[in-house]
Order: sequence, then C-alpha cells, then structure tokens
Amino acid sequence: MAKNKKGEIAAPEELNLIPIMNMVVCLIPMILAGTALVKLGVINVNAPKFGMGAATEATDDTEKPLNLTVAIGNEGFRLTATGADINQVLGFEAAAADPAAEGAAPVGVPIAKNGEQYNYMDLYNKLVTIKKAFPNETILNITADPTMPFKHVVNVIDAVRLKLESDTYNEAELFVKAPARVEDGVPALLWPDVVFAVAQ
Amino acid sequence: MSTETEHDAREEAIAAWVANQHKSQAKARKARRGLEDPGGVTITSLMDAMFIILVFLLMNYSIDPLRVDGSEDLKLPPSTTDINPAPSTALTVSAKGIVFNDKLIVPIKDGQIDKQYKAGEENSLQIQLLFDELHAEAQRQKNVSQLTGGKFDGVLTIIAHQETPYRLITEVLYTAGQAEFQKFKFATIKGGARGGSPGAT
Repeated sequence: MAKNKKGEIAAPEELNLIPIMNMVVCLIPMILAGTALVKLGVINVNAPKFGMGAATEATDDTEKPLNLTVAIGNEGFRLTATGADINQVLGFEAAAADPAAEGAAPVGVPIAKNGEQYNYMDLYNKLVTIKKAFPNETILNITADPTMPFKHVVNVIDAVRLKLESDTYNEAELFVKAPARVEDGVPALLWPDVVFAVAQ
Repeated sequence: MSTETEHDAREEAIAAWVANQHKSQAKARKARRGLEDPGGVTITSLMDAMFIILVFLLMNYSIDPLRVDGSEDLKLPPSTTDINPAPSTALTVSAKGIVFNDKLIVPIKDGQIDKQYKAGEENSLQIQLLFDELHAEAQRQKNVSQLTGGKFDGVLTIIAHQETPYRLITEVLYTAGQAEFQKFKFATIKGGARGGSPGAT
C-alpha cells in the first residue's frame, strides 16, 4: 500500500480516463465517416454475348433455344427471340418474317413507354406469358442503346428476375409493391440468367 | 486602571475579530472546495458505452466485403436485389474513370474512353490498360489458387456509376472476359423500388 512522507496510508488515486475518452470520441466519428451507411447488394450477370440474333448452339435438333432478348431503347422496350415467334406466343398476329429462318432478322414485340416512364409492368406481364410457354428457358439477353444509362438496365433485371405474387398486373402501384412469389421456401425465379448482349 | 481595562477590551475585540476572520475564511474555503468537486460524476459507464460502440463499428468495418466511397461521380443504382456482396475482385467504374486496386487505370470523358486506350480501332471493345491489369490479377489469383489447392473462380464485382452508358459497361465486361473473368456481379444499393424510382425516365 502506498504511504506518504508521514507514513500514512494514502488513498488510491483515480485513473485519469479523460485522454482515453478523447481518443475514443475521436475514433468513433472517424470510423462512422468511413463506414457506408447504405446497404449494398449485388446482381449476378453472366459473361456477355457479342453479336445479336444468332441462336446459341442447340443441344438437340428438336429443341431450339429461345434466345429471348430485351432491347432497351429511348422509345421503350422491344422483345425479340430467334427460337420462336413470340408474337404468336403473346397472342398477336404472327410475324411476317419467319423468325426461325436462318439469317432472318427477328421481328420483335414493342413495349412503348408510358409517358416518360418505361413500362416495366407490361414487360413483366409479357415475360411471364413467354415463360409459361417456355418453362425450361432461363436465359434472357439484355441489350440497350449505347448511351442508355446503366440504372435502366438494372431496373429491367429487377423486373424480370423473380416471379411476383400475380402473373399479370394492371396497376403500376400494385406491381411496384408486389412481393416475390415463394415456392418451396425460396423465391420463384422468372428469368434469372441475364446475359448482356452487344450488337456488332 | 482604566488604561488596563481599555487595553483588555481592545484585545478582546481583536481576538473576536480574528475568530470571525477564521470563521469566514473557513467558510470561503469550504465554498471553494464545493465548486472544485462537483459531486463526483463517474464516467466509467460512459466509457463502457463508448468502447462498445467502437468495437461494434470496427467489426462492421472489417467484415464489409464491398466498400464504396459515395460521391457525385459514383452513385450506385438502386435495386430490389436481396443478394449480399461476397468477397471478390472489385472494379470501380465512376463518371471520371475506371479504378482497379485503388489505382486509376483509364480516365472517362463524357461516358466514353478515348481511343488511345483501346486495343485496335476506335470501335474496339477491349480497353487495353484495363485488360493488362485484370489479366495480371487473374494470373496472380490462379497462382495463389494453385499454391493453396483452391480454384480460380473468375468472379469480378463491378461497382458502376448509375449513369454509366451501356456501351461502356459492355466494354468493361468484354475486357474482363478476355482477362479470364467470367462471372460478374454489379454492386447496387439495396431497397430500390421495382421499376426504378418514380420520376426516373
């Protein structure tokens, strides 16, 4: 025990915590500044495919890949496929050109903008219909105008990746708020394999 | 006689005055001590709270696999995705340039890369300097995988500004593909609305 000069027992001195407090108070704002407060996520994309329109190799003569493509333009979306006439699939008149013919330019289904907004709801409705006709297809090619901002591509991927509670939506508000459909405890996938395509 | 009485009275008065002075000085000292010791506020509990916050923040900081320094040149697009980022090679495409391993590889002007940085002609998709960096990284990761008995997964996470033109994105993907990266992830901000934010065209 510590004794003073007179030999009396001195009371233990309190630890001076103020410098440590100062350090901690400085460290917390520094770490807060370096920490991202927004939650980050990722979206998966497959390796890009170059040259549109060419169908991927068929594994079987009887099974031709659909090769479905969503093109994002300034006027809206355009759905095309080389493996089938999606006009017929969607209940429109059959396309004039034979889309399955070699070298034929695919005839697409346009989805016009709703005013200034892209019509993601209509895109979803049509892709659900196509998915019902081709349940084994999972690959969706996405292409866009060269100057198209990346955020629109992300919005398209968001709209087509998962099945929602309903197959068809008529109101944009319901579509935006619709939760993903859950099958066997996991979200049901609509067109999960997104491939970026570039026309050359 | 009267002189002695006066003398005694004066001494008594002086003694009384001195006693009064002592009393008032003691009172003043007591008052001063009271001001100096504000009642013993303990900061131990505050210290505990501070250290818990500090440790929590440090842990969050160290386990975050993807770090994005938000700025006007690097605004990530919002998305409805619920996939969490995993540790992987990251490449940043901001409005000003392509950054890899904290190094500016290629500058970007008006959403385009100057043809001097391309391999071949102006319309080439391959960005040569980026290819060199990514190819070296892929080789390094392959060597590490061989030594550790692992497998090179070829995953590249791209942190891209939301206004980046599609053409530039495809150029980056093509270049990364040539450098043997085959799986791509795009970093987004969680919590976006389906179909983009209202008002976005």
